[in-house]
Amino acid sequence: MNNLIEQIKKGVETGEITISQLKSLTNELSATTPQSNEDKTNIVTKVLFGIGGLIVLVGVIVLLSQNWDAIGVVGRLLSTLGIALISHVLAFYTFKISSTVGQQSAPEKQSIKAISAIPTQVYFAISAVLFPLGLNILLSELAFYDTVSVAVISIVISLVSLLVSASALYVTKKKVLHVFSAIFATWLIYSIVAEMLRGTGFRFGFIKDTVVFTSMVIALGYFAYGHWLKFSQKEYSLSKLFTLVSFILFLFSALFLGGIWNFLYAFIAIGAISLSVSMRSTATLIVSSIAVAIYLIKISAQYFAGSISWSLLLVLIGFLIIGLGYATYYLNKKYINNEKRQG
Amino acid sequence: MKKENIPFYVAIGAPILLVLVIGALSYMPKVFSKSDYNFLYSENSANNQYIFRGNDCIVYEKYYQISADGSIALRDFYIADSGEEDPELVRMKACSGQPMVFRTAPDLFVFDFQTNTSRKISADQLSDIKILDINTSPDGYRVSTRYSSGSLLDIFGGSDNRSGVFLIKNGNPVRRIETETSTSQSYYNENDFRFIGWVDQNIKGN
Repeated sequence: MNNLIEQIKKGVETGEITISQLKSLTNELSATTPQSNEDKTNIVTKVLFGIGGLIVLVGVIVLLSQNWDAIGVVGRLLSTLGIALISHVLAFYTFKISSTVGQQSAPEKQSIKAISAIPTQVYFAISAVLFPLGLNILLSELAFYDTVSVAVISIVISLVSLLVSASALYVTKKKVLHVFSAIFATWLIYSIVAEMLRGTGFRFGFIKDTVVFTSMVIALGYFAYGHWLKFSQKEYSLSKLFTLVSFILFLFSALFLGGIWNFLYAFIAIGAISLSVSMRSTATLIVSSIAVAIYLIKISAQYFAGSISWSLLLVLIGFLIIGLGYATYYLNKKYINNEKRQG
Repeated sequence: MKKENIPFYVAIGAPILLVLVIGALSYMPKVFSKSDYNFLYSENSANNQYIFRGNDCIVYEKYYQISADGSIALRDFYIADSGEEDPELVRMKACSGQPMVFRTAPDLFVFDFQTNTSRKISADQLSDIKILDINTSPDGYRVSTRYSSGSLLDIFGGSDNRSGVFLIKNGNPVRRIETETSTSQSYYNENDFRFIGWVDQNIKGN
């Protein structure tokens, strides 16, 4: 089999076969090849692990909410930080098992590897959710809320959580840790901004614009991170997720800006649609179209509500949005789906 | 630096740069915005004879009066009575039966912009003080209280960013001032900050 793979590689290098032809072939084979029983079992196992993890989290939250006083400080810390620590250790343990089994090992060892790899992410997810909760309880019991501001505590929790998550990510490279690290980093940035703006007395408009610009910069960070995931780490599904989130955050935040941004937004929207087409992403195209629709409603309400009646305005906006829907469908069909088929 | 890692550095660097810019915008006014004059302030924002604080009723015997020439003096509160009621009874009615705490006059403070601290003014220092203006300082600053119960960044601990005593320039708040009196306002606690006037920098207090 290795010889066959080497021959295919050589064929690509010499130009006998193109990457797009290989992609078409794999797509075709994936569609026609029935899933093996092992593949089906893996899916079921993944789903069960995921559901199990979710039930653990729900259980902890219900335990805390119903027995807050009864379990006391020790109980609260054990059910949050304790379970988080155990999950973190289990995650590393299962990661170690799956990573020590080599590619050439016996089939039964390959099965152990596959089984061990699945819960690693679930354990990391449980740990990532419960750790900040437990840290908050710990800081509260140590009376930190009496001495420092809520924003500072938020900074401490998000920073420590980010360090734990990022270090685990560096070692294990698990997908779920990319997501949680991004969440903790975002939480940290907003907390730092909140602390810096606290007590400044800036007007609401200035604070609102600052929060919007913060969201837009974070969105650019998400976009760049998604780009890095795609081209450097080859994490394509994760890259799509980060890119989608960046589009949502950037486009919907910018809608809250006024003044000259009411004019500039049109160019932002066009740029977003163009970028969606060039990235061949249907999801971001849909998000961009929805953002444009909201922008049209906003501009119409802001600048034309006084000159023409509301009912006529609604009719016009409705037709514009229908037109936008047709345009989105056309762009998707001609430039995205068509390119993917030729691809 | 590998070219393929540049997006990663952008993803990390952009928010850091943003935080530095917002930090500069937030902290620079605290350092650079200050008046060349100090200001006097006291408790008892509405200059009432009776104020409620917690479960107590504070009863003041005197209040601060500012004359046209800028001098400050202590004057007795006039206890209104119908001539038939005991003044003590008048006070008890005004305090709605709550325990009374008697004080001569509200505490008086001077805020010093050079040290960003407040110092208490004693009664015997009043004769040395001249109020320059009761609203705007000679260099164009005003002091005002603002109250706000919410913020966009509440969930990240950013509330209370618009409540307190602020230094105002050209109608815009430039920085918050920490005073010795409370600026909280609720049904149970009357606001305690009362701006009296701008004074010369030489007035330092005790």
